[in-house]
Amino acid sequence: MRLVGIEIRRGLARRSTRVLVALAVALIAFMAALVFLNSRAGVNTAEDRADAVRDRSAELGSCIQSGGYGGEISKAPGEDVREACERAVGSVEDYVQDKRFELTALWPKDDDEQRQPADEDDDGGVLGVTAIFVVIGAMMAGATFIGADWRYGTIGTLLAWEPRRLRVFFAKVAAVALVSFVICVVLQSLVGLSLVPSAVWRGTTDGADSEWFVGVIGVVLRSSALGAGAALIGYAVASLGRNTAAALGVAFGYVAVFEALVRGLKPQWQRWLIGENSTVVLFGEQLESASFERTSVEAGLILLAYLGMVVGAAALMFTRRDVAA
Amino acid sequence: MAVMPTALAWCADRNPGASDRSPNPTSGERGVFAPSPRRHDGWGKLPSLSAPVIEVEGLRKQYRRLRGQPTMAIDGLDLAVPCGGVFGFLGPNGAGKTTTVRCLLGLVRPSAGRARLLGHDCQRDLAAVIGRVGSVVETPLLFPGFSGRRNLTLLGRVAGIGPRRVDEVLELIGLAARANDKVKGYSLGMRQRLGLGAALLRDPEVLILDEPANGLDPAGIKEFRELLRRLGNEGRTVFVSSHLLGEVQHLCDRVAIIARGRLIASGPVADVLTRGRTSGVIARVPDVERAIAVLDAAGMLAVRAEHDALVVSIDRMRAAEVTRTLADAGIYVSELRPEEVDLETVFLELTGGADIAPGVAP
Repeated sequence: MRLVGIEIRRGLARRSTRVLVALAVALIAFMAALVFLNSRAGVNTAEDRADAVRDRSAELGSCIQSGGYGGEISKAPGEDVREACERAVGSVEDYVQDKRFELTALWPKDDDEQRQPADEDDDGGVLGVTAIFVVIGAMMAGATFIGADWRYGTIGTLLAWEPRRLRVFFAKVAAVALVSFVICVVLQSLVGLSLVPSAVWRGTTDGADSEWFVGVIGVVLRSSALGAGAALIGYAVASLGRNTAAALGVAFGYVAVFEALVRGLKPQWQRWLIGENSTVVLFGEQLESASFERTSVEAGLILLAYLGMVVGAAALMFTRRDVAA
Repeated sequence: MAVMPTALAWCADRNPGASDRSPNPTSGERGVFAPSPRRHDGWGKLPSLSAPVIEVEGLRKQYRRLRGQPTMAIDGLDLAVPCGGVFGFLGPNGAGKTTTVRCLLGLVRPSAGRARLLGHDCQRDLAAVIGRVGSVVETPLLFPGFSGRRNLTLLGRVAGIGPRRVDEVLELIGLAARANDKVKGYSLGMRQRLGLGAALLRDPEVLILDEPANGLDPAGIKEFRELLRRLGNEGRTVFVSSHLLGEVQHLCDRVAIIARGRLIASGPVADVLTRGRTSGVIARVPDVERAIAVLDAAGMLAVRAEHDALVVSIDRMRAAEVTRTLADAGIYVSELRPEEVDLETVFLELTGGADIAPGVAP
């Protein structure tokens, strides 16, 4: 436990950890400010109507100038282009947008008893989108954590103090998993909290009931668990290659090239891909395009098995290879 | 009566005479940095080799490479380092010094043979004794983004060492004023000091230092040497790997010389210096050629040393015979002194002149 505590302290004190967290907090604040500024408290306000009039006039002008979109608009008998366009672009009311921020945009509420597979174009909610960045950031942090040890040679210094290599390795594993999970939870929670003012003062909290809140907690925990797993993958690959950059290269090469190729060439293998299984864990459902059905628990177990293999291989190599420089 | 710190238990248990070299119990809580109450006064008082602190038997290490031939870094090395004092581990670059040190610290797995530290196998049982060993391997490798204090604090926590001891060590190594600066702003010499501080944190019984004087200025080297000497005099075993001959000659009690991964010579420094040599005297005379002929006729072997000096192979106690013989022949000696052999000369002879540095004289 002492080693784990030391590694946690080191992890939190590292500049790369602090920079990544600071960057994430700055981005969250920026996003929250944008949402707040672009939201509008009421519906059909004078500002909304003015915007709608302006938008409609622009559309009407475009229609007239193009001669009814190049003749695509059918004219009624005795009707000129202007009249036809007036009819085609609709009334000002059609252009009034609801600019209220809905709190349920954080995580779309599941209204259906029997939830259907998600459409690829479906909005996964704000937390679904930020989860991707959280996972990428966590993987980078995990890789740099051990990569710095190898880069600066401090792993040799540490092993000269604690020669039981498995103990050292798994202390670092525990620290990486714990720190990345907690930071992911904090950041995802911060995303949610940062949007609450927009919903309260410039939007609506309709639909944000206790059931929805449980769903939000669930996605925060699941995305954080994925973040911790990604951090461990980054850590293990960097440990195998003794290099941060190599680990990041391998990880992104795998996700961007290998998995994309498999999806294109061997769609029947999709069920075994990290991306697909991560999606199932995060959203609790398959993509509509997926050719398989799997529960979140099954997908989680598959990801755990992959994680175990990579971390196990890294642990084995860590205990056997020389620390020569 | 002197109290033997627990850190020196190994030497005390196996070499009862070594307790004479215990630190002054009144001068410090832990005794490590206390002024030594006595300095050993001759090779005869060094602990016996019966219980070596470091023991290496038939150690081999071969590095395999993806391309090209494998490299034999250590080739059947045997070594025994006795309790207490400063032991120099000397060899040219690439001789296998650092690899040996890494084997001792469990960082490198030997291809064959074994290494033992305080009686424990370095591959299987190092954890049992690592708390009694401090080490610095080459340039101390610490986190550059952390301060010196934070680096030591983190390492100290591994062994349950608190901030008070960290402050003591920082004071001792002369880094207290810069303790809160980031290590990346330190000079090489300061990093070296910090590395030594890390090695001393645990109040070690055995110190293993690989090229500890790298990057130190002459004043730093002198301080460093005095500190190591003091630690050695306290009864700790200080194992110093170096290619700086002057440093080793003036610091160490015993020395081992290796080349190409093999032991070439080992023993007290004085013994190694005179190994295979007949002692001699140097005489400065006005006519060297004639003096050589006169001495030759008298049965003494003499060779020209400089343009006006010659070396006579004769026991130093019989130096008067040289002056008398030459004076009888009308050749008067203007200077007569014993021939001094330094480690550099011996080293060059033993290793065939491999890559060395003369080091800094005291």
